[in-house]
Amino acid sequence: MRATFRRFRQSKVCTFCVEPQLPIDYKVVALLQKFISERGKLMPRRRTGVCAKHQRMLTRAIKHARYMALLPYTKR
Amino acid sequence: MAETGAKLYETIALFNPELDEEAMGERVQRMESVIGEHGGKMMSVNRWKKRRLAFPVKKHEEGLYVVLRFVADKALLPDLDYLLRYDEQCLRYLVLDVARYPGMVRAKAKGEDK
Repeated sequence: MRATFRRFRQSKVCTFCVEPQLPIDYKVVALLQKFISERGKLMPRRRTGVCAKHQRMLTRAIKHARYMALLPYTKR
Repeated sequence: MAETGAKLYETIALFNPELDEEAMGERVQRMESVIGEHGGKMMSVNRWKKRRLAFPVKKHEEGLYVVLRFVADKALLPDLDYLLRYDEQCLRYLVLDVARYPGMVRAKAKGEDK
């Protein structure tokens, strides 16, 4: 067995596929915040386990939220 | 000529936080009237309370947001755009075609989408 290096073994299934009712909306900032890093950058899929389709949707939503000053482009 | 080209749109606009209730009301009304003129149908108007911005926009740290949802033909978009673009109190705005973003929070009026 290979040792796992990553401390976070995040869920392998996409949060949004498991819970289809979850909105991916630029207005729902609290949820989007879980998918950006402390520096305000987009989290990679390999960290969050989000599927490609939902990652695309998330990216759009986060970028819209940034434009509207709901989320930062960068922090600190 | 696009007939029955009506779509559900969502507009969010960010206004100067110093605008008072009256000035805001007037702006919302102006947007509504533009939509009305084009035979659009208002679905919802949501005024958020004053909110801290993630970063300053035109030197403002806070802002007033208005979210409108309406069903209308795309012919109205240039007029709405004009209204918001040349309003100096409007700091940012965004108009989205809701059907293109399936994850968006659902309003009741979304029967056409699949």
